Amino acid sequence: MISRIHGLLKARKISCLELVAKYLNKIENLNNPLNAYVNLTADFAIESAKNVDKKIASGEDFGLVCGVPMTLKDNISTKDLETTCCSRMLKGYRPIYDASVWERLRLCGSVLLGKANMDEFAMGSSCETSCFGGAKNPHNHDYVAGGSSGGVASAVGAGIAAFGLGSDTGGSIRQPASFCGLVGLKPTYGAVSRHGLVAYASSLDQIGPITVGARDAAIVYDEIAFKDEQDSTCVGKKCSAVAHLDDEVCGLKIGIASQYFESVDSDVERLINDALEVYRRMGIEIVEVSLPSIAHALPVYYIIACAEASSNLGRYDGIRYGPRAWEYEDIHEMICKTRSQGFGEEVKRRILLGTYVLSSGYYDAYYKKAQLLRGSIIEGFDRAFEKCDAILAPTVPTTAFKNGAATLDPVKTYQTDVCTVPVNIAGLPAVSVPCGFDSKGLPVGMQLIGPKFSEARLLCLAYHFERLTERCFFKHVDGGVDLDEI
Amino acid sequence: MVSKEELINLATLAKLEISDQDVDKLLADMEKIIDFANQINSASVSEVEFDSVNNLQNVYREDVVSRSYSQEDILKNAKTVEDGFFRLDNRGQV
Repeated sequence: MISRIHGLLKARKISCLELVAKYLNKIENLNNPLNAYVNLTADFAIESAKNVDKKIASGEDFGLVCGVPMTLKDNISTKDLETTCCSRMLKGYRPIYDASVWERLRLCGSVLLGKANMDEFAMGSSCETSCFGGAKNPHNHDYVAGGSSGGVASAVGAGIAAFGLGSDTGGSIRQPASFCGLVGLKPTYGAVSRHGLVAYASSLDQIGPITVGARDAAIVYDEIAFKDEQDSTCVGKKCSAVAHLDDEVCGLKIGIASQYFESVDSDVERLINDALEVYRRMGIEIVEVSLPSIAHALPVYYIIACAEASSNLGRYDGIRYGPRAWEYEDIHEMICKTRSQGFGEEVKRRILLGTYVLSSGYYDAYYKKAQLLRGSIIEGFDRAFEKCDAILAPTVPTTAFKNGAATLDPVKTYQTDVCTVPVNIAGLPAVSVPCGFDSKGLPVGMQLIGPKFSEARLLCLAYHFERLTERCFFKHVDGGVDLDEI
Repeated sequence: MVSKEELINLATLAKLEISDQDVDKLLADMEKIIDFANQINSASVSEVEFDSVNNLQNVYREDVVSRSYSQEDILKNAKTVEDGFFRLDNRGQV
């Protein structure tokens, strides 16, 4: 998609301004049912497009992402453009700086069409905790786009953004990518700067691309993974992912861990087995590995994530930004009222759980124990990667949920993250790749998990899979921008 | 098990108000979630050095002034500002 747009702009088949106008036009038709965008930045996009056209006209060289219309999850700060995290708590908030990833893409000439819907503060798995209501699945509007980066996946899947950036704390890039038939890359912790990403759980959060195909994910990853002084945990990438897409894969080993298949739908399991056959045909050896330590990954994840969230969300007090409650007697009441009116139900639940597991008397039993178990999960993966180059697993045990189904029982919804959270706990990279459709016609994703900083190899494996299956698992959804028409 | 008093105390610590009509539902939710978190009780782990779990290393940089923001920028998103400070009225509009 990105290379094709680059080719069209380079061959002067279309100007960037015309291309952006096409996208804005389609957004106008489609965003009402989809609810993918929560804030359109049309004027800003048109200005950016004009600048790109000037650059192209001057004969200057321009990069692959230059002039490409895209979107950002609404927790990625955009200078002077409203960034709400889809929470009432940040209504009207206009950051005074750009997130490092967006600053980089903006300087490269990417065109921001608008900010994308998400679960409030990235807390949710269906996008439905958003204060704007959930984003719909472009393959079937009765189903959710997934979460928390649901708006990005909905927009890219529907063809009303060429690519987007989401964030993944416990699966929030991979799960919606899987639900919407797209590629979603969660990079290694520390590969991509979190500067300007509104913090949910700082030891787990990571920004990454949601794209049509592995090549686009590699292009965007190469652009956004750089060492950034603004984030002391960020060291950047080890090598270019695009440069390694065509590497030989014959002789590599893919591991399968039975622990990932314990509660998986039969359709999903069948399609993952089909994918293994595709890899065997490439000369890849499939080996069994064991990951008993991931049995506790889900509660470990929720304990650590909520503990960090309860601390990170302490900053919302109505003093420096965001709305403030009206009626209060003193500062304590002002902060309590502001937070109680601003945060939604799921955010409050997680703050309370986080406060609970960090409170004296419970700290050792929950938070400390979870951190120790985190250590054993990391060790488990280290041992597994002694036997294989990557692990193949389902991204989600099921396909997309029906609208409204995820909000009924919080714990049941948490359990759908069972396959995605281990990667965040261990700080590993993983990419979700479409591998077929279930009996309802909804997309199924598989994830390739690798050792730290193995993004290039994971994307190479994903790219080879797409080539051998002739990308037949990408289904074009009618209505969006069709590059064939240009 | 979380008691109603414990829940209200937690909410106070987290600077949240819980209305009477929400308290029962929240109590039921919290109970389920804590039950779910209790799954880790049965897991056995060796008592390795707590801080070494994630092999953390400090990252240092030279102590030089880099990017910073003007007072005007910092105050841009505040509801009420006076003389370059965040202003808080000691009583909201009633």
